[in-house]
Amino acid sequence: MTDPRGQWTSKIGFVLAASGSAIGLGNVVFFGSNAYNFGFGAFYLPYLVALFLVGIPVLVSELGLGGLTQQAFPPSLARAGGRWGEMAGWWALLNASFITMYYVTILAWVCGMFLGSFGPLFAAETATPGYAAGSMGNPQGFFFHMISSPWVVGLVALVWVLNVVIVRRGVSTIEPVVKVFVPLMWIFMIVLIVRGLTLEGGPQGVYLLFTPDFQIMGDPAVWRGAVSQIFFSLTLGFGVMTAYASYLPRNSDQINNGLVTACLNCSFEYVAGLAIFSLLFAFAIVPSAGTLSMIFFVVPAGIAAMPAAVKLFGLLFFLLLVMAGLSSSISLIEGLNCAIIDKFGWSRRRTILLTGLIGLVGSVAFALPQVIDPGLQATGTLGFTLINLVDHWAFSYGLLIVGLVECLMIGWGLPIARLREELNRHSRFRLPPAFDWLIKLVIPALLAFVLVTSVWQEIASGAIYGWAPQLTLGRLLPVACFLVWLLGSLAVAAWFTLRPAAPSPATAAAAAPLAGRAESPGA
Amino acid sequence: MRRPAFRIALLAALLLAGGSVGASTPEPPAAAVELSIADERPLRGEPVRLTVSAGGAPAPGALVEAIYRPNSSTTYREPLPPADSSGTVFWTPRDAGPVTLEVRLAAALETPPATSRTVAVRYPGFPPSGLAIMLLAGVLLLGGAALGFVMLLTGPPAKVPPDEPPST
Repeated sequence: MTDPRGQWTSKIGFVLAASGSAIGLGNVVFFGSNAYNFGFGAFYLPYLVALFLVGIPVLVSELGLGGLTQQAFPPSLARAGGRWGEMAGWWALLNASFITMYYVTILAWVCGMFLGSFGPLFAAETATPGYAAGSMGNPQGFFFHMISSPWVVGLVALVWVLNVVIVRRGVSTIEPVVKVFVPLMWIFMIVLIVRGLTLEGGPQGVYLLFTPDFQIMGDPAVWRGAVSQIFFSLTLGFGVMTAYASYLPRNSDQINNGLVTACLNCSFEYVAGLAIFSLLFAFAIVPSAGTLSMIFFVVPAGIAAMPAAVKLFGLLFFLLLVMAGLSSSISLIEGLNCAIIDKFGWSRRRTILLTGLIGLVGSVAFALPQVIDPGLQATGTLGFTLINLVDHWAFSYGLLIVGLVECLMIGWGLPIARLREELNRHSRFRLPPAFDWLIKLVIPALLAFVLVTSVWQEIASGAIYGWAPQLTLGRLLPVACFLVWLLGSLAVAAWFTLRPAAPSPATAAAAAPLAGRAESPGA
Repeated sequence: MRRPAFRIALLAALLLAGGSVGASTPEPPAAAVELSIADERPLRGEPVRLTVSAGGAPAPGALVEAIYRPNSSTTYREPLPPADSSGTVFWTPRDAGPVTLEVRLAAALETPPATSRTVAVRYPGFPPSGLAIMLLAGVLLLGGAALGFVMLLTGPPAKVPPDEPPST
């Protein structure tokens, strides 16, 4: 008999898949961007605090939930919160789907840079510090030109095809892929560190990243950025970790799995930070395009300054970035697929086709040159209005709302003490009773504080994001984005929740009590 | 048998796509106003001489503004005194990191800058707090990952429980 859901064949395979899910564009693109945006060293200390206070406990809880229920995120949360729990789980996955759509678009742009590496991207004048956006021989000019080209829509389709092909066979395909991707990414990033640190001024960038600025740290926005980064980076609130853990035997050591995954992921960010900031300082580059400029402008500038084999390094870098992005995007897609298969008993092929087609349409919408601010080449800033709007709600708010709700449900509904006992039974590490209060009270209070202060700051700034009248694409688009994100995802989540579940091994497992189920001998 | 040909065609199409976005873009017009910096990598807390010229001649009265951490949510601006008769301004950087220097010839700061330069301001020495956090983070993160891996590899093998089907 074979398991229709599949299982990891090794613990290493699972850990690499989980860290592959966590290690992606977020580690290079968003970490560098957030660290710059929130004051370098002023960001890093709150980031470390957020990792150990929020990130690892929530990650262990999500893994524990998946391992114990052997189910996807919505039915797992249903065990804690009933129908409302299931609906929260579906909403989390749908919120993650919005992020997946533009994540794939960004990945398609990475593919474009990869292809451009064969052509003019690494021209001789690329390494000139302080270059202008209009010059084609540098990454900034190349990038702006690429995203306004219709070809990028084809690249989006290509990335979705790659995702579907990898996800098609589930864990049996994902596991060997990440076993190659993840170690390669590490090796390349270490090469980049050596390059960055050997440049004049490179080590100063490292000082910049780690030297704290306590005055800036007093700003709540810095803490919001740090917590959001941890959530996004560890793929928390996406339902992915629960889905991945559901493919492991129930008696797996989820505490250790969580620790390894979190530490591997944040170690990679540590390494990427060393590389990026040494290059940023060495070339005195201002990330004028916010989130994306680190990866599309700063690192390519460093590669162009290599003493030899510039094109080869450029190709390799963007190839590995594509791999990192793919290992994350497949996990994002798998989170939703796993839930649909569990709930409705659909075949994997049917599920992937449906999610793939809907995702493709969404990603194309983010990639269409028409929705990209036509003034971006003149101003040097990325006016990705649609991405910015959706990112603002789905990333900055959606993930934290999911984190808050899941902590409350797991903490009070499951309850957490039972989950902790189960986790401790199978682990050589022991979670102390204080862990219960962390999940029940401390983390929800912190997340609620971050969310409330964020809304307050937006109101105090004059307008809730997206309603500012100076937006060039009209006033309807921001409102429409918000409504589609919130009401659309809530409506679909409610619909999924109210649909009857098909009988399957997974739904049968859902009926069984959480604790006291059969375990593997000698675990 | 058609698969290799298809792959080659796909690769060729992708390469063409990569090349197609490589068309030339117009170069920006040369700026008439120039800002020269005595030290391209100034030190925090150490004065540095800036010289503003317009059309090759000194630009007395030019206004220079230092923008620390530009394009970030923690950015702040520091207006410098007007340039003297030789177009010279002295600037003492308050923070390390990227700083954009904007130059305006008109007296009003509302006008667009005539030119701008970005410099990376250095720390005067190795900051001990930065070293401490770097070491702490390295030990915690890399050490945690290493410890976890050791536990993972040396721990008892996780087997499929009896009520679960075998792995695929």
